[in-house]
Amino acid sequence: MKLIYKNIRLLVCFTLLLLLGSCDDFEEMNQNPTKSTQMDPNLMLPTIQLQLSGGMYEQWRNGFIYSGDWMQQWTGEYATTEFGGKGQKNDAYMSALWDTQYPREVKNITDMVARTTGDPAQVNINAVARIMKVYIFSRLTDLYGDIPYFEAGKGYYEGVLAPKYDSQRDIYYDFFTELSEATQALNSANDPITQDFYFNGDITKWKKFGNSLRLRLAMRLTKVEPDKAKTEAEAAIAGGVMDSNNDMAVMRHINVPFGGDVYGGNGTSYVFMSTSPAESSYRMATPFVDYLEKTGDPRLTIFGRAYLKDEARTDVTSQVRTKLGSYVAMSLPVSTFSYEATGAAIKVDVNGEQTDVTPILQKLQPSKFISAIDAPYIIMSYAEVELWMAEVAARGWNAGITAQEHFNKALEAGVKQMTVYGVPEVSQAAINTFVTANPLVTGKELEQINTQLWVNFALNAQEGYANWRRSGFPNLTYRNRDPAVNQSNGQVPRRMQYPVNEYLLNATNVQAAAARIPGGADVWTARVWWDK
Amino acid sequence: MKTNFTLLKKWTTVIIMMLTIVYYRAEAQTTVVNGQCLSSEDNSPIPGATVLIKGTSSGTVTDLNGRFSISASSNDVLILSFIGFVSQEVPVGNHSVINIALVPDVKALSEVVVTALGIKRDAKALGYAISQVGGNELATAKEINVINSLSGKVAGVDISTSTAGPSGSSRVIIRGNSELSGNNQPLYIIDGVPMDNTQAGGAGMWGGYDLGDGLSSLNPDDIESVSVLKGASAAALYGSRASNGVIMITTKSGVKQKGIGVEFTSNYTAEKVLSRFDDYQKVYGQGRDGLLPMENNNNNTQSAWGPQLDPNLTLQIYNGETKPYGLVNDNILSFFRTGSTLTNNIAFSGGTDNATVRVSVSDMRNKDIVPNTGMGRNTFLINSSMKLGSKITVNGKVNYIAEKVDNRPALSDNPNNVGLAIIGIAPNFDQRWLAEGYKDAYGRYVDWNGNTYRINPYWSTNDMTNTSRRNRVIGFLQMNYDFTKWLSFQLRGGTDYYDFRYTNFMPKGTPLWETGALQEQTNHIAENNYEGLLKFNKEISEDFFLSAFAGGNIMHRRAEFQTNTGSGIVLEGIEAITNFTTQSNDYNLVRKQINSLYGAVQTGYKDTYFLDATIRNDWTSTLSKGNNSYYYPSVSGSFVFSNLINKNTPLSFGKVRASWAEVGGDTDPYQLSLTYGLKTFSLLGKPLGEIANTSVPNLQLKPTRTYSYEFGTDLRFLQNRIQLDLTYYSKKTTDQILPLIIPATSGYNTAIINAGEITNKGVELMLKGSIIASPRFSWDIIGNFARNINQVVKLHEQVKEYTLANARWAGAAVMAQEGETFGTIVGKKLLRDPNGNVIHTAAGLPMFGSEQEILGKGTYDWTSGITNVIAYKGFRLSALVDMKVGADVYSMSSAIAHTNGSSTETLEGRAGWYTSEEARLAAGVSPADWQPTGGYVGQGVVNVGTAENPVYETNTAFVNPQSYWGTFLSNSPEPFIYDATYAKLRELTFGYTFPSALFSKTPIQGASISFVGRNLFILYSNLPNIDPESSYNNGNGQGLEYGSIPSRRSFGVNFSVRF
Repeated sequence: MKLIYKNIRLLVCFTLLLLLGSCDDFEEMNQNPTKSTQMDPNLMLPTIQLQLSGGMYEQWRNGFIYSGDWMQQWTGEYATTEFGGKGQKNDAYMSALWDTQYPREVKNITDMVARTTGDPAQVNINAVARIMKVYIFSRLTDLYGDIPYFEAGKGYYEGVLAPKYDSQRDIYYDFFTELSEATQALNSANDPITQDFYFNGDITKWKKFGNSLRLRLAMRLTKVEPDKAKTEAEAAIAGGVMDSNNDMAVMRHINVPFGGDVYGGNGTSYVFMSTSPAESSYRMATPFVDYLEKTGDPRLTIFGRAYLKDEARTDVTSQVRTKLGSYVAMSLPVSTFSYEATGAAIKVDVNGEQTDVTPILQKLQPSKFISAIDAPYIIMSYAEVELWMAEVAARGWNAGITAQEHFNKALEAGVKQMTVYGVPEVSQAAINTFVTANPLVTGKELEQINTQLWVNFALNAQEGYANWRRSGFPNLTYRNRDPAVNQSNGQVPRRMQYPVNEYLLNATNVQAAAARIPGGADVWTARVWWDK
Repeated sequence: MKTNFTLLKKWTTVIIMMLTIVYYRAEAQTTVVNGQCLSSEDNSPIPGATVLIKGTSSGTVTDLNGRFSISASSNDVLILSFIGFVSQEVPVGNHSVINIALVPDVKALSEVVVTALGIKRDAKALGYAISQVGGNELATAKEINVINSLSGKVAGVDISTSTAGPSGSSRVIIRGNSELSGNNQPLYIIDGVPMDNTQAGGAGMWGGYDLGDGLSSLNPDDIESVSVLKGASAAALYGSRASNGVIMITTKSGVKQKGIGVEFTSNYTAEKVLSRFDDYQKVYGQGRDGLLPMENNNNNTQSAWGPQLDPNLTLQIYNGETKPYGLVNDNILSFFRTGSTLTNNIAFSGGTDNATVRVSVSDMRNKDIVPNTGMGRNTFLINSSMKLGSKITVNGKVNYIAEKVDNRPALSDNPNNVGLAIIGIAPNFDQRWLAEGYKDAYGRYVDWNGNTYRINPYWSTNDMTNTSRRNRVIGFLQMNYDFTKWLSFQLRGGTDYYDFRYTNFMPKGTPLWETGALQEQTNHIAENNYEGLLKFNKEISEDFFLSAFAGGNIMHRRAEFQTNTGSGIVLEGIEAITNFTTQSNDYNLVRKQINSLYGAVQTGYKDTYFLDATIRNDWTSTLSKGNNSYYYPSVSGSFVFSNLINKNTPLSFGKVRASWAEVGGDTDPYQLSLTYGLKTFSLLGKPLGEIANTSVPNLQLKPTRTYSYEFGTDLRFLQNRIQLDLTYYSKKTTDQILPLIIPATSGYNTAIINAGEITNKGVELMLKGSIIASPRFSWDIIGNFARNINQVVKLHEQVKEYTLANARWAGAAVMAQEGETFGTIVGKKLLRDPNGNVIHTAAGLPMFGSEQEILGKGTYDWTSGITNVIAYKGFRLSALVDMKVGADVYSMSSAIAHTNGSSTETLEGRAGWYTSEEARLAAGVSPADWQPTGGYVGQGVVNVGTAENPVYETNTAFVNPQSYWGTFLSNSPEPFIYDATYAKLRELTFGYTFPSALFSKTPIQGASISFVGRNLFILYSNLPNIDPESSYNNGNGQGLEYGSIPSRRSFGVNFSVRF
């Protein structure tokens, strides 16, 4: 009996030892060994920069299908015509940007700002984060109107699980404060920006980018609050904006297929080449080709070229151009499925062989330069800034020099910037011819400037769509190709509706925002605040 | 030398004696023994009693007069047994007549069942429901994944499979869904050791592969019995993982037996498509707007909106060939092949008084109906036990399993889902044409439909390959030490370790992966359990029985996941990660430990009153200090009231039982703090850092709680010929730890919180009747029924809905919504006037609401199974009909069939519209200015008033049916939500056991042959084309079907022989 109790005591002791011995390790055991509780915010910047231009779906859905079809530069692809061209709503397409940016870019940029605010050793990275924050939110609010801003992305920091929606006016006013403070805070003597793709850590260029962004956003307000627009635009210019193509904000990409775990490619190119590496599903739309051809723009054949459908994408642009007589004949009408390309097959000479070119291949596809998966993505160009300044001057506000001077610089820079795609330089003589041939015409300045902005945004349809809504230029006619299924009163919609998920998960706040929309309903034909 | 000689002589004598015995045994006289079996109480005959020759399975049953007749050898021992009586053993000797009086068993109904921690209990002592299924019920009509064989056999256990087929996973739900975030599946315990049943991967709304689960590793022929512990009380000792029930599997072990102890089983089945594709129109072919496709346009291979089929017309297909435009019959079925499964199993077993051992080896090879898809499995099992002296017993088990699956089918929206490609093909397009020239002369992919998201199925099955292998060891080592007769100690260490490797290769030219890609996934998963148990077991007095145990367990789980992906293949044909230009690497390590102490007391009084109580305390590594220790009790009791009433009533046995239990639970590791990590790749030399959490972490998490109670009764009438088992249960799970889906605007997709309350209440009924019970002929009917009522009582103050799954099309989702049942299917509804008529636009298209509304639910109201067993002499016919009633399913296959114009419903209005269009084009009028003369007229109304003051008139507008049916895919799932109720002939076996007399001169002990069939017929279904059992995953969001691979029926033969 004694032996039994002795044995039991031994066992109990042994068991307790095991239990207690391992209890101490519990906290360490519950710490993921592959993750850290700390991270230098500098390491998070390149991720945000990549994701802003490297995602395929938001570029496709909000970029090409909706904004893109309506801006009439590219057409042919199925969903673009079926949804954008017919004006049919698709919840997932409308909410694509929202669905990707909030839980990704907004979350990380909020964290970067929160952890660097007030830290004298992180002044520059804080300023950079604030500029990026404005950039991210500006694309969101321009598309949807009132959005969660002040409380957004604070699920962890402030425990806000269901953020309220802020008015676009408040958001814009805060943009200007943020940009003004951030650009002033930037100082080359302070902490270095170590992992930056856009400017390689150049603080001066960040300053110019911040002010240029402020200028872009200031110009959004010309319809709704011209005085504020003027104040902010002039302040931005005074603060120092981009003044050469060297100042452009450009994201670099690599050639990896989409869909894998590595997605370093250019989102626009993923969309262009989504069907086959041998043929883009997009074609240049008639209004775009027509305008470039009429203005003698050297960029026409940089944007678009005709290719055979073979592995090499053999270039037949000049042969087809000769047969058809014009580039416009090589374009596809707006909101058209590519298989609806009409005309007869032609035979052209390819390396001495007579080769059939079907109508669909006679149309200009996005060129190999701009549709390469590793093509760079222009976040903001110097040419754009010159065009804003041209408008500032044209409106009689202070932009240093005249509208014409700015416009000339913009055209020249606009052509020259295409070299970022690896395109051979266009000769200065050709550029001069183009610039001289397109002077500003009195009374038509705003139309000319904003149509050039439209060209500038040919690969960034969302910005083009925002500026078209503000300026009304170029004057585009919506094709409304199938009135029976159209859900936009036969007009180009003016915004994207809020995601269905918000109605499920954040009903009170989204309903309050919807009630503020002119007409009181969350419809895509209603206008955002600055689009009075 | 002399001594040696003597010794030799001695040995020789021994050997000769042994040989003589053997000879004598072999020559033992076989005689026919006749006899009668009576009750010792009143000398009444006992019909239906079993007469068995000890150590064999040959035997007979007594007739209505209790008489029997059996061939036996003089050295055989007969065992006579009957429920409610004490079994008796009678040596045959030289008797030719044996009359036996059986003594009633005071411990009536000595049904021994295996309960938690492997403790064997008398079923009548239990205060909760437990169901046990014998191994042979699972091994005859085999399923590769053995758990599927339980379908329809146990009340309240709802089993569903994915359309991935034999290699896929199963979803097992006991007493309803109670968790939002977990998988709601039971804990599996194999011979006392928990088995990891996590899925390596499944398909979601955008596609994926079902990478199978742990249960597919088990060899059905090794299973002795399966116990299902349904309620929390039964499972309370297993801790939180058991709150969804426990399925305890006991494998066969060695026994002392006659013969050399070899059993060989062979099973062959053929698999054929079960789904019928009966809702495909056969009038119109490919094209759009009633027009034949233009040349060089293959965009509409999957669009059946062309002109009327006419074999005299021709069209050029994707590969440049010209083909007739006529109807192709059996177009879908011709793609799939007849599958086959061959299983061979051999087991050796034997034992002495001090040691037993069983060794088995099995080989299973399967070819699925999807070409090039198949699975192989080898299992090796050693189960042994040894007594060391009088006090120590040592048990050990090692089970090694090697599994390989080739080319698991892609599911759901995956571009290479052959189901999606095949079911969408226009009726004129023979799927076989897709095999002709899908690769060009250089082996490159040729586009067939202008849609990179639908890969040519021949490329999918022939050129894209995936392989998965799992090597697994399940085993334990156990020592028992008996201090005294009533006190013993048990120490056990058990492990379940496996590595799983999956590679998925996309050759160069594959749409979306043009440069070629490879994905490699390697998982190493180990769960080790160490347990010590002190057992006390004593009859204090003749009337009072007490047993108790106390113990502790340490559970340690370590899971490593390594994923490498590469794109840009360099040397074609080399499927190695080093052969890719771009690579990304991900590694994850998940660790978790739970330490537990627990104890239980079981008492019995006069074999009539029973009371059990348990308590357990857990310390978990996944919750923070202060919250990580929690205890939970259970109590249960039963009362065998039939012991107190007159024996001469029709009631042979009666018992009531009741139990109450609480179970606490923890969560997954790493949910308490915000962490940062790098992406699995870098870009141009820069690291890509980000917040690693997609959930808002929560340091304050508390353990979750499940409270449950149940009561029930077990009644048997007419000497057990009628058995009724009825249970009512109620279960409430609160403070669930779940990733609450929050608005993306918070920056996170989810927040880890304690929230929610879900209740499940229901009844389970089992009724068994012996309609005929004569010795030669018997007919039993066993029915079970389960009704579960679920309610999501509460979620969270800020968020009232939880998305369980999103559907690929029309914005539909499966939700848990406050106040509703778990798993509602929601989506936008068609707009209707107050009379319920669908409102149309002036143009004649249906209008849709803007809110997500409930359209159905993905969980069944009740499930039922009815088994009929008819036995005549050695023949046995058994049929199981399995029914599930009351769930709905959103069939996206049907939605696509309507959008594509291949459903019969899309025929209406086509001829009229095409005539109208011809006239319009002839007149040169634009669509806006044309008044259509024919077409589809949507049934319903049109608002001719204003939005504020609507006036509804019957809709008469003609529309293009293509436009009409095209509006749903991005707007509303409503027309494609079907009742998923079904009845299936789940299992049919017809077996014959050869009389043992047949083998009396051979070493064969017994042999049987069965013709088996599974899932033979769908007896009832409302779903067009698709088997209602066609989920693409086994997640919580059931009720979605998309691009299903046809379901399979199997039939074949099972042969078994023992030596």
